[in-house]
Amino acid sequence: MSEETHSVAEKVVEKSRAHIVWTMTGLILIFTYAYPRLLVAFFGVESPWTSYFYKYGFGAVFFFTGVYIVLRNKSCILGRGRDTFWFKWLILGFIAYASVHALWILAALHLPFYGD
Amino acid sequence: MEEIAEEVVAFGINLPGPAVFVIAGVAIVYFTIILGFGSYFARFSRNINDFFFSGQRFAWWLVAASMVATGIGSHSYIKYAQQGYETGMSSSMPYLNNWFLVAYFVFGWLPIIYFGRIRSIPQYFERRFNRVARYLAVFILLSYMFFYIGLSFYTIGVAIEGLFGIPHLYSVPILALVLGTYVTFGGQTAVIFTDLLQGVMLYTAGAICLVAGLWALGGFGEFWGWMPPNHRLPFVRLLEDPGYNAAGLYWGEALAGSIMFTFLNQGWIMRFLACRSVHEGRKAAFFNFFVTLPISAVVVGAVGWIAKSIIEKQAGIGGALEGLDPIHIENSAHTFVVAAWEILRQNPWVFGFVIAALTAALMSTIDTLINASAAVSIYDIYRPMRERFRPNTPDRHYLKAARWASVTATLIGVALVVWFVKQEATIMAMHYRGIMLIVPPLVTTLFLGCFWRRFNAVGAIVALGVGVLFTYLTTAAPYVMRPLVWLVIGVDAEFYPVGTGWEDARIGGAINPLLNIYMPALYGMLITGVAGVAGTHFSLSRVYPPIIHGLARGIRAVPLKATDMLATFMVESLHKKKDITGLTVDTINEGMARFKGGTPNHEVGKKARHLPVEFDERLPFKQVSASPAVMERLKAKEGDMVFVEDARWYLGGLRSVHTHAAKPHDLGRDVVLMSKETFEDAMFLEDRPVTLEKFF
Repeated sequence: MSEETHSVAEKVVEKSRAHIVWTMTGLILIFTYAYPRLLVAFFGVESPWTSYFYKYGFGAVFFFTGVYIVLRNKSCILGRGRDTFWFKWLILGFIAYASVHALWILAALHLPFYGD
Repeated sequence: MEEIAEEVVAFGINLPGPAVFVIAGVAIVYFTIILGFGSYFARFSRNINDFFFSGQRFAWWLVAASMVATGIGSHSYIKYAQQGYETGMSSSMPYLNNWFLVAYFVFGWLPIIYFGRIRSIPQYFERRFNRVARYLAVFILLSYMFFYIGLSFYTIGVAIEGLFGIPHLYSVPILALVLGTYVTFGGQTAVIFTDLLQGVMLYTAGAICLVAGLWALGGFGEFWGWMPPNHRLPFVRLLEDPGYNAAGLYWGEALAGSIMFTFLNQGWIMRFLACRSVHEGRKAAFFNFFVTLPISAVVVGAVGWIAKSIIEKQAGIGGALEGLDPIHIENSAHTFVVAAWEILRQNPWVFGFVIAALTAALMSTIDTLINASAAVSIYDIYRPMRERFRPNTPDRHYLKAARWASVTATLIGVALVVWFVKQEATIMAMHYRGIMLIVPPLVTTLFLGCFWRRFNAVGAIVALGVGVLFTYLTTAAPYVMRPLVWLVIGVDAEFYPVGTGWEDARIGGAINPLLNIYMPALYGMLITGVAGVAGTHFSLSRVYPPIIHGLARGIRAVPLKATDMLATFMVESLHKKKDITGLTVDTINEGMARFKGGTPNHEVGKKARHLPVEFDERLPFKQVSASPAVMERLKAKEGDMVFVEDARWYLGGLRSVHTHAAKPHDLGRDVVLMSKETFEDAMFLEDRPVTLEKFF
C-alpha cells in the first residue's frame, strides 16, 4: 500500500515538474521573441540603451537561473561557512557591472565632444 | 593568410637600422630571462601532480596574477587595438561579458572539479558518463588545442616577420625551443611563474602606452573630449555591424565564448586546480572577473582608443600634436604598432620593451596550451592505456612521459604552422571558426552534465555526435540558422534593407559574418541541448532496452572480436549504475565530504601564523599536531583539513603541504609537530616558521 502510494506520489511530482519545465520553456521562448522587438520599438535600433538592455535583459535571465540552481541544489547555503560572503559578492558584481555600464553610457552621451 | 602576412610586413613604420638592433636586443634579453625563470622553478615539480597542478598549493593572488597573461590572448594587442580604433571603447565588450556565468562557475563547476579531483575535461566525461564520451571529448579537445598552438605559433611568426623580416621558417622553431624547454622541464609551476612575470610585463607595457598616449593628448579630459561619442560607448549598436554587433556578441561571446573559456579551457582549469582550496579558487575567480578582465580590456584596447582621439584632435587643431609626428592609420590592422611607435616618441628601447610584452602575450598562450595538451595526453590517453597492461607504473615514468608529451605538442604546433601559412583567411576568422565549430557540443554537454542529474551517457554521446554534425553543417548551409537568428534578434527587412550590404544576414547568405561568426555557436548549443535531452529521455524509456538488445544481437551476427566486445558493452551499459557523487551540482556537498574523508567542518577560523616546527615521528605522513590554543584559533577539530605553508606569504604556497589535523599536543607551547617526511614533502626549510589554515 505504502509503496504504491509512494510510486503514485513520485509520478505526480514528476508530472508537475514536467509541467513546470514546459511552462518555463514556453515563457522563455515568448520572452526571447518579444524582448528584442520591444526594446527596438521603445528605444530604436540605434540607441546604446537597446544594446545595454538586450545584454543585461537576456544576461539577467541566464544569471538568475544560475543563482536559482545553486541555491536550490544547496551548492550554496546561505549562512554556512563563507557561502553568504561569496553570494553577496556574486549579486554585488552583477549590480556593479550593470551600474558601471549605465554610467559609462551616460558619460559618453552627455559629456561634451570637442570636435565637429 | 598571405593577406595577413602582407599587412603585418607592411606595418607602416620605418624602423631605422639601430632601432631594429635595440628592439631585437631587448626581446632577446627578455626571452633569456623568461627561460632562466621557468627553468629555475622546474625544481619544484616533484611528481606528476606537481607537473600539471603544482600540488594544489598556491595562494589565490599568485594564480590570479598568472592568469593575466593567459587571459590576454595570442593576438589580443593587434585585434583589440584595431577594434578600439574602429569602434572605440566597445572593444572592451568581450572582456566585460563574463559576469552572467559566475554563479555557475564558483558554486558549480569549480567545486565539482576540485573536490572531484578532476584532472582534465575528458576525465570528467568518463567519470560522469562513460569511456565513449571521454574519447569523444579527448578528440575534440586535442584537435582544438593543437589547432590553437599552431595558430599562436603562426601569429608570433607573422609579428616577428613584420618587425624584423625574419621568416617563420627560422623564428618559429627558435621560439618553440625556448617555450618547449621551460614547459617541458618546468611543467605547471614554471608556467605559473613565467606567466606571472609575463603578466607584469604585459600590464607595464600597456600602462606605458596608456600614460604616454594620455600625456601626448594633454590628459584624460582631452582624451575623452576628442573621442567621438559613438567611440566612447561601452557597447556597439545592436545590429549595425554584422561583424561586431551587440546581439551577436551576447550569444556568441558572452555565452558560448565565455563558457568555453571558463569551463572548458584546460589551461584555465589547471590554474584553478593549482589553488590550495576552493575558497582560494573563488578569490582568484572573483578577482579575475572584477579586476583582471577590466584592466586587460583597457590594456589591449587603449592604444586604439588613444589613436582615434589623437587623430580627431589632429584634425581639430589642424596639425600634429606637440612633440609627435602626425599619426596616419591607413590600415587599422596596424593600429597598435603605428600608434605605439609614435606615442612612445620613436624610442627604440621603450618600443622594444612593448614589443617584447606583446610577444609575451603570444608566448603565454602557447605555454599554457602546451602544458594543457600534455595533461590531456597523459591523463586521458597514455595513463589509462598503460595502467591496463602494466598496473602500478611508478609516478616518475608518467612525469617523463608528460615531458615527452609537451615536446610532441610543441612539435605538432610547429608543424601546423606550415599548414596555416597556406590558408587564405584572416587570423580573426580562423580563431572564431575554431571556437564556433568545436566548442558548442562540448560546452552544452558539460553544462547538462553538471547541472542536470538525470542527463546520462546515452544523452551525452547523442549530444556530442549530433552537436558536432549539425554545427559543422552550418559551414555548408548557414541558412539553417535563419529561424534562430529571426527569433533572438528579429532580423528582417526593416533592419537589413536591400542595398546596405547586409542582405545576406536577412536571407541567410553564406558569407555574412553575423551568421558565420556568432550564430553557429548558439545554434550548435541549442541543437546539442535538444539532442542531449531527447537522448536521455529515450534511454530512460521502456522501448530502449529491447532496442539495445536487438541491436546487440545484430552486431554479434558479425563474427568479430570487436563486434562482440561492442555488443557486450552495449548490453552491460544498460544495467550499469554510475556513481556520480560530487560530479553534479546537487551532490557537491557529498563530494566535499568524500574529498576530506569525513564530515566537513564549515566553521570559519583564523590563520595561525609564524609557528615553529618540531619533528614527531609518531605522527603519520601528512598529519600535523598543534596546540589546543592554535586549534581554537583555527576552529579546527581532529581530522579537519589543515594547510601548512612557509610563513613568508610572498612565496604564495611554493613551500607547503595539505595535511589533516591530528589530536592536539600538550607541550604547552605553540609549535607544530609533523614527521620529517611531511616536512620534506612540503619542501620546508630548517628554522623557518610556518602558517596554518584550516579549510573544512
